[in-house]
Amino acid sequence: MTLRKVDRFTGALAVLASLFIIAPMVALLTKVPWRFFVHDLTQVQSRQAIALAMWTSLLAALICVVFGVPLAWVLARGNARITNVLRPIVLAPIVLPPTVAGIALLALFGRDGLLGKYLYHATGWSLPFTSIAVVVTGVFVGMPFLALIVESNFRHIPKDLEDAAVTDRASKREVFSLVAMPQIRNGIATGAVLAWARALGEFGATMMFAGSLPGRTQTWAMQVYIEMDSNMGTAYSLSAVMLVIAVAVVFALRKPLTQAFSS
Amino acid sequence: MLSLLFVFTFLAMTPQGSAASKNTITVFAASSLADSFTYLGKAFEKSHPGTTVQFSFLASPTLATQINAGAPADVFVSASGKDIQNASSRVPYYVGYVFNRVVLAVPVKNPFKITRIRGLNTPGVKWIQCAHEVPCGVAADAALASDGSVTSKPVSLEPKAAGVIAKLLLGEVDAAIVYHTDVVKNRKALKEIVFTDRLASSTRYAIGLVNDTKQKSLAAAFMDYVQTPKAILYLRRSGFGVIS
Repeated sequence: MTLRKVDRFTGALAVLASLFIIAPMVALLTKVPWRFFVHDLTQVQSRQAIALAMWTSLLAALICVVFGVPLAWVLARGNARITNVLRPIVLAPIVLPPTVAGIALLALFGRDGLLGKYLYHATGWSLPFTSIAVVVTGVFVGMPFLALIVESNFRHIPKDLEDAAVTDRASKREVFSLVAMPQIRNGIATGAVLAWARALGEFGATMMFAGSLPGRTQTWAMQVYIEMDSNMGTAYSLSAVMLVIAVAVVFALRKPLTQAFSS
Repeated sequence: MLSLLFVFTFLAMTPQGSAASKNTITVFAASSLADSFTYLGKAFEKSHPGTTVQFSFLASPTLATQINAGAPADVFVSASGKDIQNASSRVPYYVGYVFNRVVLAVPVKNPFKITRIRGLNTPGVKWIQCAHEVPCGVAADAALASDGSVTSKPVSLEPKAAGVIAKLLLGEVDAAIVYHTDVVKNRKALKEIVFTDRLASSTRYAIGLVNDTKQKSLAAAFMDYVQTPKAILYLRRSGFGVIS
């Protein structure tokens, strides 16, 4: 049916584009040493890295929801003069190189950082090299994805629904939390899953800001990098699971994602 | 219009591309050599007019992996013999080169007043070293094991030597096990405490030609150049060790 609508040349380009993306993923799967697959994933370093990456990214996603949903509401309904400036700034990490994110987080939270300086002088404690730093990095890179998706969902809520609530003497806060938020439960879930996946995969910024210590800051993605130099097979096994997660996430979210990006 | 663009791009690329590859060699070198080899590369270009030396400075195991995967390198200088052996599919022969040793480095301010290796045990001290997989980490592990006094654990195992020194200079940690050459380069900011076991704390660099290089003579000339007495003297001043 769709075939009839697409001319051959355009179709051929599309096939090439798809192959370009699919081929490396298939190649990765062919390199996985399946005989050692279970062993590779269950050895201590892998288990530690996977466990750490999972809990830090889930916590990051939760924080993204708690603060990102209100942010998205402001972006959707706030004063346009402010939101037009605020939006590009808070969404920038989506396209920011991870190394820049890492150095920016150090500039703020490092021992000599804008905020970290005072924290360190007052308490002798600093954020870098802690698991919390991994979470903070995840929030920084994940929040924009949640805000982007959730804002778009808020914009799709029919205005008259909110108007009706206001006529019924609902407060502004009630419109947000009792009317708008329940309407877009799926959208929030979509944003949360995207933020989680982004936090789970972060590597460059984490390495610069949180360092790399097994069990504390050495995440799944970082383990792939480290294993590449010592045991390529393990790197392939760890990567394969990440690939499956990525495809599964996008597959599960295919409907809400297409909805969010069509207005 | 579009095809014209293609033709122009093609024309613009071809001569330049071949000219560049004719007199350009690519050297894969351990990240701890970044400063001295950048200097030696410049000096080599000066003494061989018309040539260009490109570098890729990364952790030695990473470079070995890349070379095995077919990376376009002409010369490989690793921070240990083990890593160059791991690249033996394309670097079958190599010679031992200069030495480096790891030391415990602290900022000149030294907030925890660390003056001995066991100072790392002071409560509250944050210290880092290289990951166990890379040469500076192997040397750090051996040096610490031989010393035997340190019971505390590093807060991070950095994937490459350059990352360790960067975090120490940034002030994110109170101490770090780094190469002696890093301290020499930053002598105004850092002090060093040496390990008594010099053998355990040392690593020997190795240099070899990539066997399928298309620049055999130029690459060989570069290898000879970095082993001339003049180059060795420069490396020695930078803190590297040599057998005299």
